[in-house]
Amino acid sequence: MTLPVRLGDGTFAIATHDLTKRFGRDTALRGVDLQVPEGAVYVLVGPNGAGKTTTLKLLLGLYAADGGSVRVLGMDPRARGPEVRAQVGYVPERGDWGYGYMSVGRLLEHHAAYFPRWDWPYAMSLAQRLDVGLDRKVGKLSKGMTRRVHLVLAMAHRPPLLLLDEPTDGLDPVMRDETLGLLAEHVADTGATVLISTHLVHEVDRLADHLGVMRDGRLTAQLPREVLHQNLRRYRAEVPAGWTGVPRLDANVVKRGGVGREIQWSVWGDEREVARTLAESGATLRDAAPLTLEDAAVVLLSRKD
Amino acid sequence: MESAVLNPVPGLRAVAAEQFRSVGLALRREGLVAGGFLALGSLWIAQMQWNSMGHASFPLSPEAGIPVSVLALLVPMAVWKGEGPAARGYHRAMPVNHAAHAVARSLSGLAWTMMAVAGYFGWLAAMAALTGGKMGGEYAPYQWVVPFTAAAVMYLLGSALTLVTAHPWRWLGGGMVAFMFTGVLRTTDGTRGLWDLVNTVIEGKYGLQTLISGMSPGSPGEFGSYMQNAVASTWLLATWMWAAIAISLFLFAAYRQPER
Amino acid sequence: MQLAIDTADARPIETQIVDEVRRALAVGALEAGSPLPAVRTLAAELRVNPGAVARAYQVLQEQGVVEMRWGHGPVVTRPAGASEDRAALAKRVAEHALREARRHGVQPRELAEALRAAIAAQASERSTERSERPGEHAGTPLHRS
Repeated sequence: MTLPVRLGDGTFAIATHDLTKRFGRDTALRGVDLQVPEGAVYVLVGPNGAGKTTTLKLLLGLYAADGGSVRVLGMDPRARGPEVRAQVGYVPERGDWGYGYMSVGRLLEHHAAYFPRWDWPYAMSLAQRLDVGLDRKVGKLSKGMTRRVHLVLAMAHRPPLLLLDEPTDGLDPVMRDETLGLLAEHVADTGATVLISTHLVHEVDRLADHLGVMRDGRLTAQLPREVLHQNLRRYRAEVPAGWTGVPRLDANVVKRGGVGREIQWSVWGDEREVARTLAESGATLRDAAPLTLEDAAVVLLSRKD
Repeated sequence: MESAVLNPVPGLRAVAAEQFRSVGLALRREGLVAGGFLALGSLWIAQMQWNSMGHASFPLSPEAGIPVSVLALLVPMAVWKGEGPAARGYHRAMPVNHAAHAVARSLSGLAWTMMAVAGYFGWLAAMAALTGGKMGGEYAPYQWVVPFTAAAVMYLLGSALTLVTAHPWRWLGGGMVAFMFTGVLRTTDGTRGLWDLVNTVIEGKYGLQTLISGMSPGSPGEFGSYMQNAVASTWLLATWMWAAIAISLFLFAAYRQPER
Repeated sequence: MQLAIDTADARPIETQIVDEVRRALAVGALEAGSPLPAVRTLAAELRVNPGAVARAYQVLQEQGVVEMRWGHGPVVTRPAGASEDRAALAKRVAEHALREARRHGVQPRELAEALRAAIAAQASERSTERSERPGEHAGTPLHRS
């Protein structure tokens, strides 16, 4: 069984094909086929070091790929870097972004000079809602405040594509909540495409409509949320003594667990078929529950290949 | 989205203007330090004036620009805030071609450096005027251009270094230490050729010294004969050569900045 | 408009929105003629994907609960407390109870017995409270299992 890794055909805001990147002897990305449809809110989840940040940098043209191709809004970010970056609002993973010696207000002015579509009233409203003070020096801000400044910088010019690397990192719960609301509004107002790279799925659960799972430089799963919801179930069944399992299902079992004679399996496949297979093997099915996005992500990430 | 209207990239003029402003902001602290030195200098000259009862006669001369030109080598490190290539993520993420953006920022720093040199000579002229010193009439006209060209070339060389490495100080320091030991090269027959080369580059007719001082060295063998002759044509050729080298290195560095 | 959207609930967001709107309608919190917030507004308030809100409104329109009016956004067209909404609500609760029962190995027959007993117990508690006004629910806390 392979989990879906391709989204089929269509117009994609981001499409990479067999993307490979090496740093010296270390291969950071191995043949990644990332596909983010226009207008989607795509959550890229994976452990630290999986290659998510590297992928984002390749999308911005900050790195050159060692193999494969990248297309962002139909353009090659290496060949047409400035044009691609003009369409993107980027929140980086690292904290030191911008110039520490500038005040926040001055940094906004600086950023505005680079993005002719900068909307000052919108920027001010974002700053106000995210409780960003304009007077403090950027170098002296706390981690959470810095992140909020990044969000203002990324959104104020109403870009059609948002690339957010751990956008809620360091934010307190109130600000996280506010950020999600702003993102929801931004998507509704502009039809923007959003790619969020994070290892905290819970925070962005309500916004996401696509999920990508990255591990060791590979995209091990990529699918729309409704497909995930329809096909991944957690089955709870009571099995008789001496039950030998279901070899036919083994390939589809993403995660095994259970207590004593009760098994709890997360299985990928059509619910009726899986239920029938389990029943035929002598198990008594108790429950077939869909998973939350967060649980699904955990299950898919912890899958042993 | 391919068919939709794309957000525009910023115009080159807007970028240059913004870089000029933000580099000015970045150099504010260094500017204040320089200002502090000038203030101290003013006090010292005032004291001299007082001691000599109004006849200190502080002279205005283009040679005062020599130390400033050498310092221009270090200004790029302040422009880039000591950040190595890996730390310039924000700068590189802007919707501008990487090389062009690095050039824009560097040239902004150059503009400020030229303004600083002009300001410095303005101060010197004021000091000379106030203390009744000579106003530099005895110098050839071209010699007043020397501090500016020298500072510009040194700035570009320093920029090239800063653009490619995260540790420009190490390379500079290492270079200076190596230079101090070049005297050793003179001692052995095999390496004397190398010493001759280094010597020519630094003290030769079209060497670095000519660029910085505006003077060509006197004939070899004359003790203390260096920095004697103000020959415009020699200086011009030296400056031309060094400018070409500096600009080439600078542009090469701007295009080949390391990515991480 | 604050709807209770629960990320711990594995139902899709649009399903939760549809159910919540119908619940509000069933208990009378919304009534015919009430406007619903625009997609953008509701999405921002709930911190959810606007696409999910749009789909939810679509479903509600197909079910005949709301109507999309030009220049006004979605407006509720069904009267509050309509029987189909109440029935849908009850069905949802019942199906949830049945699922829970099966998970714990409780037979439907046993569940029906337990429900009858619980309803009777609650009714007798209520009758001992003299100050209750008709139409209000008893103060027995509803435990979430």
